[in-house]
Amino acid sequence: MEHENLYGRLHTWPKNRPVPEGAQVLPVRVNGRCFRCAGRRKALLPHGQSYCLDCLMIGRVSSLDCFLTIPEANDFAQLRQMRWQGQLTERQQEASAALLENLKAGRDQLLFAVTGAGKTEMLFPILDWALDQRMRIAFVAPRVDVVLELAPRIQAAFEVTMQVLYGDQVAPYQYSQLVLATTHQLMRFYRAFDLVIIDEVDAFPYRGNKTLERAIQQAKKEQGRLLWMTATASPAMLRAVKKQKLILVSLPARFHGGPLPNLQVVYAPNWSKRLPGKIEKRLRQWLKEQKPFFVFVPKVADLERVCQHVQRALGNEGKGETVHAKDPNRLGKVAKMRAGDFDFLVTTTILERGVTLSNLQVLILGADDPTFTREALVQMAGRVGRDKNHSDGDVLAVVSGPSRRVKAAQKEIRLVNERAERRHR
Amino acid sequence: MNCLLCAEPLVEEQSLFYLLTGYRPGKGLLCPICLKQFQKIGPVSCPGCGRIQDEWRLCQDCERWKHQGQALLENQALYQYNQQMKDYMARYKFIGDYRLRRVFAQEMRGAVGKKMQEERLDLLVPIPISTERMGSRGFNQVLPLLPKSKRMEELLAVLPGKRIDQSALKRADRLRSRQPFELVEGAKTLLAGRSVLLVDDVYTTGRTLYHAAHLLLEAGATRVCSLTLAR
Repeated sequence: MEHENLYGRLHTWPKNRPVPEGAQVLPVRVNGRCFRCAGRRKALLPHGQSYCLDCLMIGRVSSLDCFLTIPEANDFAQLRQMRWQGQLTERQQEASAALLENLKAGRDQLLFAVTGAGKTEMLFPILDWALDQRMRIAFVAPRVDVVLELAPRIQAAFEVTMQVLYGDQVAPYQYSQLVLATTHQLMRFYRAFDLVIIDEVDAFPYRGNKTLERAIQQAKKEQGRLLWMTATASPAMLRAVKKQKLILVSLPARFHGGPLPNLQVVYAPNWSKRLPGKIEKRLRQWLKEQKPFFVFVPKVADLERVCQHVQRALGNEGKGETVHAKDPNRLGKVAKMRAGDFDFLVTTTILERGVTLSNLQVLILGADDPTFTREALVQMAGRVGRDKNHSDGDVLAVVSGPSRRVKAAQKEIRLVNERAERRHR
Repeated sequence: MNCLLCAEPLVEEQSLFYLLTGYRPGKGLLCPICLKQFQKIGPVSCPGCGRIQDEWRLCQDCERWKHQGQALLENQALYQYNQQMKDYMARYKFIGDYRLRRVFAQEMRGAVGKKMQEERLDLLVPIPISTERMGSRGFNQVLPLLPKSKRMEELLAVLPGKRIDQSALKRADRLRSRQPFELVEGAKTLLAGRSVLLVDDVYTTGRTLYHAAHLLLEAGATRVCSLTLAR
């Protein structure tokens, strides 16, 4: 076991193996709670032993184990220059400067920016400064797709040791200054990071998840700083801002200055049996104009049927596939869509965020289904018009009846656009 | 409750089968979709190792064992070692989710009991795990699959420093591996003139089970056959 691989980690280690020299030993349970996840649920093993059920998905921690850690040493080689040469817009620059100032002052902050505002690019100056200060940084997002999209962009922008961590990974852990990970992976860290950047705070599974919230607190150093990012701030976040626990930096306009396209509602109570003619016509039009599109459906069970409907509507001329969370080919299919091999993807909420495709159009079937939250609907609309050259597009929402969530999402988008315009003047 | 393999919420289905028999396979542990992916081994299989095949004759691997002069184990296996079973074993053994023992415990206990009775076998011997592995995993994955029986004897132990977990090895390396077991004290007196049923979780190349059988036969057992959950 390499020493540096234990820096700031919580490494599960069987008690019957000798502890490596220099490592600190931490208990697995304290006051009846798991030390790693603070969960109380456990399952029994023979001979009075037990293991934690609440963090079993990231590896078993049993009473036969202990945790090893070595305090974070920030042992990094000095970094060379930032490779990113892009230009921020004036408003992006403003927000970015504010973020940097707050970070220097050691404050936790919330970046509230509309989808397509260019959050990632705005972070580059901050990352540049923090890396230069030899800070260890974690950049986490709730979904693996988002993490995998971010990784090459960040790797291209900085000359720095970087690790990407997510659930079903085979590559072994390696110590790095920058860690890109799904939120769950933070449970494996202990007082490691000087700066934790949390993207898509409003997304499942992060929202209201005490375990993950705690994981973030535990993964950062006691003096470490947090930077939350979201496109749809939850009331709890805004309350924290009011109480001045968080500094708010907001950026309501998209980077190209255009508005966020709003949901166009189409009523069709039996969309799962057949697509409305209006929609079919629009799909054919998208295909003709070579605009790629996503079709969102509420349930995995709807995928196949809807995919057939879409194929039929396109006269079997479009190429497309279905994607869901458990799809073994999930990442491959998204990559194909990105490469332009597919004209469309039929998917569940998993692709609602973090995916940037040029000139994408969106069709949401069953937008009134409870699986689609207000935030999810706003995010799906946010997939559209993320490109300077194609700053507009369609977001069609097929509903079976009037829905409060859809109305709320429309209202939110309208408000965001109004706010952006007011700033603009 | 959620399914222990795919974490989908479990819906208790009311089937006619359940209403009539009150029996639900792996009740309340796995969802029907996950359960369905386990493939049972039908009535026709290789009489040597229990693998599924169309004809009732020895498969190539068993011909090879026979050629080497081994008395065949006449292994009986309940399920195919398909992807689903591999995933299950990964969760049960390697991650160590002990709750998963209950998925097949009832079925395995029944099958073991039946085989003991039908073939009039005297002793029931589980394949052991090393003390090192026991220290980290905390359980022997075979024991929960055995019925409570006076004829159950843990006669085998893993030699110190040996590993029997061969899942990281390739087939050729596995077949070359040396004897990993030893007999516990007093095993010889128990074994003399007795017939034995060996039980393990998976039969892959057969190497492990044949090593165990070799020891038992050497110590005076008259006959050794085996039963595994998967093949």
